[in-house]
This record gives sequence, structure tokens and C-alpha cells, in this order.
Amino acid sequence: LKVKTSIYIFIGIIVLMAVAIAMAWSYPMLKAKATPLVICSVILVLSAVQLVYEVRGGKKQTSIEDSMTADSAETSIRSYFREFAWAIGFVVSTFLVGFLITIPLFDILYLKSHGAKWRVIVPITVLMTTICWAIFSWLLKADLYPGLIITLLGG
Amino acid sequence: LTLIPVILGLFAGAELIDLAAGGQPIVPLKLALSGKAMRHQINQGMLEVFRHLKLFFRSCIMGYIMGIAPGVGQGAATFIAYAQAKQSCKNPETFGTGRIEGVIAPESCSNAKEGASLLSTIALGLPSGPSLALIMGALLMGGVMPGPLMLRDELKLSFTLFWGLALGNIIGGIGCYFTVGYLNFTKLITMAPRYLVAIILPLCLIGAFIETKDMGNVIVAIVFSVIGLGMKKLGFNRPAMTLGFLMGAYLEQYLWLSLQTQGPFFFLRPVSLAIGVIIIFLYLYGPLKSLLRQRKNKVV
Repeated sequence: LKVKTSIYIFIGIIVLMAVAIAMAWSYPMLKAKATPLVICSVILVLSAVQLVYEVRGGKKQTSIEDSMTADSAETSIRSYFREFAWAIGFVVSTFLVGFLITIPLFDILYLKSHGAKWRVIVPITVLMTTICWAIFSWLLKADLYPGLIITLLGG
Repeated sequence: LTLIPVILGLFAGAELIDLAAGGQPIVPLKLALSGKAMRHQINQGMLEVFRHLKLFFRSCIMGYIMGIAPGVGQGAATFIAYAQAKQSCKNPETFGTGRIEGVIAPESCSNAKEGASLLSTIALGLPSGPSLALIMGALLMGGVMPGPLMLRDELKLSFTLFWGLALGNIIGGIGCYFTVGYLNFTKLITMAPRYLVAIILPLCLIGAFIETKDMGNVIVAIVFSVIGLGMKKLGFNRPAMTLGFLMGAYLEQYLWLSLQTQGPFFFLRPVSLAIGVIIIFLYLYGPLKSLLRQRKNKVV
């Protein structure tokens, strides 16, 4: 018997909410427990209704299964991980050397690795760095994060 | 958590990663519209508002009421307008597939809200969002005290602000018509995703950082990009989550206040009861309508 993914998700949500209600119930102060109890109870009831609905096979057009299968075939999970890795790389680089060095570095490496030509990479990189510096550092005086290394070097 | 990194992650970040992973532009270049075709589409789009006048006026009234109520932010107002448009639609499951009602409702609500928010800012001195707080700050710096007395002492200035907002909207609309219709800026959507990532990702992450100057918010934006992408792929409603995020703090604050002042049955007070009945009615309106239609069809 094939069980739909959405059923697992809603069972997971119900269990999570039951745990949250039990935890909130043990809080000593009413002020602390009021909101979690109200919100978690509502979510628990709505998830139970949706679970019944999914088990009975209702609302076919918008079921989670359909939306998952619609585009998962086109794009592999690997490509999502690759793109997230670039985003995380951007954040790590910003931590180390700050925004104004990371932006040109990211643009050059990202575009080059995705097969862009130098005659496109150079203008985009220069434009992006100039725009970010001009708008945030110069006009708005926003003090973009300088990075750990630059700070340690006294920059 | 602050709102901006959450929104940037849930929507911009998730969409950008999804687009980049797919490797295809939003619209292929061969399907991009020419200037003339684009102007035709814009004209058709404007006509759509007149075809949905009921929805337009309903959303405007909602926006106006939410604008007068201090504390309801722009985001909350547009999401509520979207939700009511979806609830009142004959086929709510088609929302999210490019239905024009999903654009008309939040946009008209948003524009109506701005005018009403200006009223509450001037008359009560309570700004409802960052832009109005900025206007209020400018008034205070100019020696004008927003509040009930402003409408008596500075009536001319108050009306200058109201007319400025109204004319600004009209001029902005005309500007958009020409930039999109004649300069055809919409061709940007035919750009390869790698260029969009190189331009938008740094701007998004700077946007997440700049509000509080905290690198933690950049990480929040990345984490919410993962959550947003997961929600998109699993078919969960991201605007609903944003609404929950926006209203969570209010809910906690006012639930406690209500419990303190009126006890556990505060929701049986006349105003609370009326609001509750309206919410339940709006929630059940769509399903009941489709149920009645199904029965009617069976009888026929």
C-alpha cells in the first residue's frame, strides 16, 4: 500500500503540536503558556482535519503530491544543493572579507563556473560592486559588514 | 526575528534558488513580447480592473479600514486582501496559477491603505509602517506635531500631504505605463538565471543585513530560503506563513491583554463575537458556496 507523503507530513505536524501542547501545559505562568496553547491547539485541529481530508483523497488539484511531482522531475536535488552551496559560500566569504570584496569575488566565480563569457562577467561585476558601494556605503552611509579578516587587520 | 530577512528568504531567496537550479529563464526569449504586444497586454490588464469592480471596491474598503487601524502593516493588509479574494472566488484552488484577482485585490488594498494610514498618522499621530514613520519624523523635524490638533492648526499642510499621495500614485502609474510599455523593461525576465543570481542574491543578502546591521539576519535569510523552497515544493502556502509571522506578536500581546481584562470568555463580548462570526463566515463562504453549487448541479 503506497502512503502519500502529505500524510506523513500531517502526522508529523500533529505529533509536533501534541508535544508542544504538553510542554506549554507544564509552564508555570499563564502568560507563558496562553499563546503556545492557543496556537498549537488550532494547528493540531486543522492538521487533523487536513489529514482526514488527505486520507479520504479529497482536494486532488492542490494535493502536496501533485505539486511535488509537477516540477521535481525537471530539476535534480543535486542542482538545488549546488545553488545553496553558492549562497552559503557567499555568507561565509562575507563573514571573512566583508560584502564589498565578496560581491565581485562571488560574481566572477559564480558566472565563470556557470559558463558566462568574460565580456559579460566584467561589466556585471564592476556594475554590481559600484552600485552596492555607491548606494549603501556612499549614499546611505550604511557601513556594510567589513569582514572578520579586514577588521582584524584594522581596515 | 525581524520581518525583512524572513520575507527575503521565503520569497526572493527561495524563488532565486529554484530558478537557478532549473537553469531556464522565467520566460524564454522567443516568447518575450514586443513593445506593441506589451502595450496591448497592459491595456487589457487595466480593463481587467473594470471587469472586477466588485472585488476592486471590496479590497479598497478593506484596505481603508485596515489603514485606519493603527498597527496593521502593509504586508498583513495585502495578504488579508489576497486571502479574501481567494475565499470569495468560485475556484479558489486556481489561485497561485496567475489569476488576475490575486493581483487586483492586494494591489487595490495596498493603495487604499496608504491613504487611510496617512489619516491615522496625521489625526492620531500613530504611523502604521516605516514609510509613514518617516513622514511623521519629517513633520516633527519641521516643527509640526502630528495628532488631533494638526487637522485644525495645519489643515493646509494636511491636505497637501493627502493630495501629494493621490497625485504620486497617478504619476507613478503613468510612469510605469511608459517604462514597461515603451522601454519594455519586462524583457529582464528573459535573462538567464545565472545573471539574475549574480545581481539579485548580493542585493537580497545586503537587504537582510542592512536593517539591523546584523550578520545573523543574513543567516536567517538563507535558512528561510531553504524553508521557502521546501514549502514551495510541498505546496504549502508561504503568504499564510508570513501572515502568521506578522500577526504572532500581536496575537500574543492582545490575547494576554484580553485574558487579563475580560477573562477566558473574552471572545463572547459583542465586538469580539462579531469579528469571530465574520471570520468564520469568510472561512466557510467559499466551501459552502461550492457545496451549494454542486447540489444545484445534481438537481439539474
